[in-house]
Amino acid sequence: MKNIKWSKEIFKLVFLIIITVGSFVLGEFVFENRHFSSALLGISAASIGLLVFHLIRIINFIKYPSAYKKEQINLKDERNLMLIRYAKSSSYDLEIFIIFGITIYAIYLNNVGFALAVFILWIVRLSSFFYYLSKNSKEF
Amino acid sequence: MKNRLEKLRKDRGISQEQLADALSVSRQTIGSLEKGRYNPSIILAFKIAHYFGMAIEEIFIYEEEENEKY
Repeated sequence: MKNIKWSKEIFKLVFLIIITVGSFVLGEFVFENRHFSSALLGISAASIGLLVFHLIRIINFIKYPSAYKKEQINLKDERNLMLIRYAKSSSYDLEIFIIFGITIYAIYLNNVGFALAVFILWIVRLSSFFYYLSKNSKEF
Repeated sequence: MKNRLEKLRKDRGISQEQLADALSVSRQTIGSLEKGRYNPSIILAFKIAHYFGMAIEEIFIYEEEENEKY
């Protein structure tokens, strides 16, 4: 039976508590009535969801230790990893067309800031693609 | 590539779940392997062969014609 890495799970739990409480305090009391206070409260609400999900996960591991082993196997399973890689690759191909559409829209709007942001997005995507292509060709 | 995984597993009276646990893969991977939808990595193929105490080529059957298409 694979031992549960409690330190990792507790670190995630503490991190989520800090994000939930921190963003709530910042949004409700520190940046009250400023335009980004609602965004901070939104982050806090989303963190509560993740926190509850993580707590249920931990309780499940305590009740059924085999569930942890199963999760670890699923995370490292070669077919699952292949499926994730294919999904990422397909979504990258699709995103290229969407970003192309956004580029045309940015040019049509004649908004320099927006067009610049889309241009940076293109640079980041293409340079990261060639970086990983080169890195992987050296590795494999 | 064809394989005899399903037959070998059934002959030994073990479930997909048990085989998956022994090989540290998901049950779905075993199902896909048995249906011939997924070809395993060389490491997993060795693990399977080692588990059944056989050579890889006794379990996995390479088909020349099918692979020539690619």
